[in-house]
Amino acid sequence: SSGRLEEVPLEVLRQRESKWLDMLNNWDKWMAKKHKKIRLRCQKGIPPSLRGRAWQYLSGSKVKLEQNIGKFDELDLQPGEPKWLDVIERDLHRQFPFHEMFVSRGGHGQQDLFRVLKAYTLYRPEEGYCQAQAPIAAVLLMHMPAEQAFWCLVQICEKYLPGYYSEKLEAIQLDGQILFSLLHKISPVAYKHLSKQKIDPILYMTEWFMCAFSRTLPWSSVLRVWDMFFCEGVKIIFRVGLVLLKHTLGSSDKLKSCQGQYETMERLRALSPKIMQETFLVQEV
Amino acid sequence: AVTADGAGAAPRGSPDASLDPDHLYNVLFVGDSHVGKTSFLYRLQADTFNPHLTATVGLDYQVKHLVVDNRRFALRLWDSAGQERYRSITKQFFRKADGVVLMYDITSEYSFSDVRYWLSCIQEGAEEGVTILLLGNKTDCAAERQVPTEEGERLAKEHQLIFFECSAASGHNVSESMVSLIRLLQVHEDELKKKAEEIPKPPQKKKGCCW
Repeated sequence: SSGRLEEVPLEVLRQRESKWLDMLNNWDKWMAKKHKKIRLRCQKGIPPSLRGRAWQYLSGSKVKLEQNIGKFDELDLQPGEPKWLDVIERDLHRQFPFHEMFVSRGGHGQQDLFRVLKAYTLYRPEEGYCQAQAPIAAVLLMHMPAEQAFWCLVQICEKYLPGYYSEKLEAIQLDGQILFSLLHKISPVAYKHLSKQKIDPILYMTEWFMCAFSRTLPWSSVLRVWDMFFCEGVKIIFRVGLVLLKHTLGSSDKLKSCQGQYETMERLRALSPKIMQETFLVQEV
Repeated sequence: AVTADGAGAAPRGSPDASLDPDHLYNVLFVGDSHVGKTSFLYRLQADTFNPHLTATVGLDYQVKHLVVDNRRFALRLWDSAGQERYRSITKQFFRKADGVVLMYDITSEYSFSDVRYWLSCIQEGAEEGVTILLLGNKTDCAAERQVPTEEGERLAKEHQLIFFECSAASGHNVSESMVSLIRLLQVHEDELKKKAEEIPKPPQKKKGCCW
């Protein structure tokens, strides 16, 4: 199935692990002098055993945590605003409900998810909680403890996707327009088709971007996309979006079977597994 | 005579030419987060309850084919995220709606008190005279009920809405409410057509001149 991880020979994996260990142990030096190399290694995929650590280094959340020792515990102890707690609580069982971490109500995964999301509403009371933050936090918790996940979430919300989850959701709507104008360059056929069908970008890209594809792509592809995202930022999200659009609507042949607005929407909702497959997607991005 | 066509009638993504509906309506689902909009739509399509649905981010959409009174209908159902901050996105789609389903949760007084807010959004954004169905979901949770049926009825009467209580979990009143909505949408459409016909037409072309 397309969700299966790409087979990396054990020997290669061990080599990659030792390279990554060396990088993580000399992080500042690598960041200053060999950023290109880091980028290349992120594109190849971070070894699963070091992924959580690497994401914290790449995002700068490790430094953030070190600058704010005790802050998470402090937020964790506060009760939180009832209006946020209510929404968060009701969302806990709605994140990756089939993942073993989140499967049981009140289990560790759901408890940690609650703590991380609640802490964020206290950290940024003017922003509160946005429902698309829950899948992001859930993916982080699959790779690191709650405190680390919290600071990583902070980095995503403030540095990587600023304004995506804020009150009026203006940033996401703006990025929808930007994605669409980029599509004009990348795939004029797809652009023309979507324009003709009057399909607003907000209709297909909101979940893609706000959840950083965590609910769209097969799992192995999600991880590879996030590896690159943490290294290179939001442009990876744009590129993935453009690849998906181009390979779904980018030729007259592809458009034959989705000529109407609703056939097109349906096609974008149920993307072909082939184009979401890890190796194909990463190569195209 | 009401028959609901099963969910798997046509493979997803293929244009459903065989059904070729007589009428096609856009229906937008709104209401607070967690009231059960997505679950309702899931029940309508698959006729089962799925407790594992994730919170809607942005807008989602699906098509449902129904036969009501021997006429074929296609409903384009737009599912919206309920959380307040998504309203800036949802609002843009009010204008396209022929009908709006406004849902609240009978076990949540809060979601019911927000109905008035949603009505003002509809008034502001949708076409005048848009057909509105008010739905009180989760009748299966009778023990936790906070909103009496009469309150829903009263509100519906006051604003001239169709009203049902339903349960996405048990299936209670799910297709019944949709059928009522369709009938009213059709009445509305007929009225509009009638109005259009009242405008005098150019004389009809003579038929069969060779006879």
